[in-house]
Amino acid sequence: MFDNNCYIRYIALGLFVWMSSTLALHAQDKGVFSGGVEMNINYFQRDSLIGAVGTPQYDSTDVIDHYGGELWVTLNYRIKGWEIGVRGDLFQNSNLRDPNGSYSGIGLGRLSVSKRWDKLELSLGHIYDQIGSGLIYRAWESRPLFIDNALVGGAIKYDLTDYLTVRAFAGKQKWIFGVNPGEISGVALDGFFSFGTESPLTISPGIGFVNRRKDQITVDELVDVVRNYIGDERIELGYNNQAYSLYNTLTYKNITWYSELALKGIETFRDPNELKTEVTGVRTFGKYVRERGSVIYNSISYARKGLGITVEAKRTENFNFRSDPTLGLNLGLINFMPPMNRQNTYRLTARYSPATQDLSEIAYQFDLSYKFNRKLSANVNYSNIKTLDGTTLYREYFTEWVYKQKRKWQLSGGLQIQNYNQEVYEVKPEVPLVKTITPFAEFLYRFTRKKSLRIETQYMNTDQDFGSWFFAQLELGLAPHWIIELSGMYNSDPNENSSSVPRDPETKEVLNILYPTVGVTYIHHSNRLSLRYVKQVEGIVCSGGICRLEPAFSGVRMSFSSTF
Amino acid sequence: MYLTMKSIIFTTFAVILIIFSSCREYPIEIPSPKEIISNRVVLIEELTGVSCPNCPAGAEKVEALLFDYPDNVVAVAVHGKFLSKPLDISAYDFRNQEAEELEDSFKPWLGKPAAAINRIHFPDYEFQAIDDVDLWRTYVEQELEKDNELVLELAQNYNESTRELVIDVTAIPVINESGEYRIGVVITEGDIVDAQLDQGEILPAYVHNHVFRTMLTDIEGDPFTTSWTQNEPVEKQFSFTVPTSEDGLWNTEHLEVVAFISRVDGDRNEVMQAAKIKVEG
Repeated sequence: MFDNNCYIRYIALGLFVWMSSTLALHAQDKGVFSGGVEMNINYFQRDSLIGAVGTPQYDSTDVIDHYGGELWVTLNYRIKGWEIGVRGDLFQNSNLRDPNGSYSGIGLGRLSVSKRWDKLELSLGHIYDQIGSGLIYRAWESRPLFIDNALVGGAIKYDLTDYLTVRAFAGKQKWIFGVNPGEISGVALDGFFSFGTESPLTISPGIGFVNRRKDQITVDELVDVVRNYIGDERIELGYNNQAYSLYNTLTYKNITWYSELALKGIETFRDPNELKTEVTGVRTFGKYVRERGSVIYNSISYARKGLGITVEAKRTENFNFRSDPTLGLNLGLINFMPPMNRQNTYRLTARYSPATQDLSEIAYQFDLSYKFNRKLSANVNYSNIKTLDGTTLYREYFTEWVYKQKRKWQLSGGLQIQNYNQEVYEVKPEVPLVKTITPFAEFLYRFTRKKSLRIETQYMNTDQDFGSWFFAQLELGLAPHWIIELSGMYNSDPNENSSSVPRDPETKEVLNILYPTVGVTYIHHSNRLSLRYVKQVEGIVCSGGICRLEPAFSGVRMSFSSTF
Repeated sequence: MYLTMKSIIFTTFAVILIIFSSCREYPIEIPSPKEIISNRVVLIEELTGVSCPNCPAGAEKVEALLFDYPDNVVAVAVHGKFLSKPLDISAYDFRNQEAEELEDSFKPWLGKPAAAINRIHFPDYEFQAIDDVDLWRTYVEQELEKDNELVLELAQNYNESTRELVIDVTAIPVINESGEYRIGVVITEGDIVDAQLDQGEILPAYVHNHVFRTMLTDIEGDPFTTSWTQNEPVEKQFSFTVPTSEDGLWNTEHLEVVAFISRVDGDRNEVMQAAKIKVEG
């Protein structure tokens, strides 16, 4: 990973001069200015009982180190077909990059300029984009996971006809304030065709191609690794890796069918489940392999008044595609795999969420929504995720019923049944498949137009991991400015066989711990400020199927967001 | 827009162009493993832990380096805070305050296993402690290919009855240089049979080697000399009473002394040469 600030500065300087000279000719047009601010400040209060220890923010003897946070300030300006975006990022003693560590840094998080002339659009700087559903390329940002995979480079887009657009891009992948090694380039062709004005059939086909070229340092590193592989474990290496994608959205009356086939050329990547023979004769897990990859993804949905049905299926094999194959975890991802499970929102129903697997996964999902009448509606969802050799990774049965009594009150409730392979998703050895049964209910009552109370409760029954949980939340809404919340997550039946469950330091008995949250949120127009005291058990944090394990948290969280 | 023959032909042409736009690539020739002959001895400080599922693979990388370079590599396995908590079936707790401080001194690092090679923060790697186990050999071999700057000799004298250990360190430079130079001395213990997580299972009888037990100097090393004159030895003596332990640890048959000399240059404190000797000789 290299510092790329100078490179970005030169691009920025050139573009500013170009844009300024052009805008001088149009001084009468003031353009549109927009932006936003997002800020988090955390106070870390050590609590060894729940495991909120072992990080610099908890363990430091200097009280100032117990504070950490992040700030993003975004400014956008649009005028005469020009669009310029700037974002400053600040991290101070932040645990966002590494939940077990501390990171501080300040710099230019984004600088981009684009200009559109009739059919042509040029972009330079930090560019976010994707091809198809993202299977071969997605440059995106997810702040809670410290992912910002913008392309630092240039892109060109041209409308060949009214129904056909071609775009091409080239550059390097952003990494914090610099870039990852390796060059990424690609091209995509997107179309839209209808079959006559009266025809209910339309198609939106597309094809994409992405090439990733490793830099010499990465190649040398890999050569140094592979040269020590013994016998037939040795693999070949190359500089380039290509991925292709063919995708289409077909719409016929109430039916929408999205399909995508992505293929990846033969390439080197690290497979953590492959065994490597060391020179000592011992075999260890983790080895570079050289394989082709593929993903096939289909999503068919049917919608009419009161009814929605979606069926999705995806098969993934050896589709690890990174800017640098030596990177692991969520680092250097060029592509994005859509998740194949319901994106749950309640605290306990979202506790176990599966990360998409890029090497071996076969998954399907069924979702049905039906509105019986103006008062009653229901949702049923089933998802099943396995490895290609049949190992169960995740299975979920979910149903939710919602009853609305005009605008006065609303009652919803349902049941979730999950199987979750914690051993794979959280890399926890010798832990059994987590099996949960979680009934849940939510009641919303509006006292007046401005005052409302929301009560939310869930009970998760499980014999695995931490054991069973009970969660309840009260949320008082005083529109338009205030939301006051009080919640508690209680380990009602802790699992005695788990090494993660807090225990009495002396008797070593498992403890029933309550993890409370008290918070207040103030909202004014598009400004939102919240202050919360939080005790939170360790758990998975996900964003669209990209997940990571977060340690327990204890302390105060303040967050502020504003857009203009 | 209506589908026309012209648009179909154009689209088909574009699709074919994209599909066949990649170039044929010839594979890179992979050379044979390096066989470096060097007078240097490289220090590997491996950040590990009994609750770390990937650490046995890291430990095996160290063993492979010791297998290939038995006289050129010394290893210290640091069981600090992270993923080092004993398992339910563990007989021993390898953690101690010095190990935790040593582990902390390499922060930030992203995970375990990680290893510091000669305490160098290599410019092409983001962290001083390298968490990509495949790169450990690369950096060790880089260090072995450098010119040797001094010879480090260790002599021990262990009294079984009093458990008194005396270590004589002699550094013989092959360079003329002045600056700030430090010495670090670590006691490690090997052949400890105890539980270890390994990917999806617990290994109840895993053999832990090079386990950091204590340090006879500051973790950053103690002042050793301020100048080197070619072939003029610099000496220092350390003494240590080996603790007695009923649980089987501090077994002098399996104890080893690791010493290293480092050069202080601003924030850097890079190891110039290391050495090891068994406590019982």
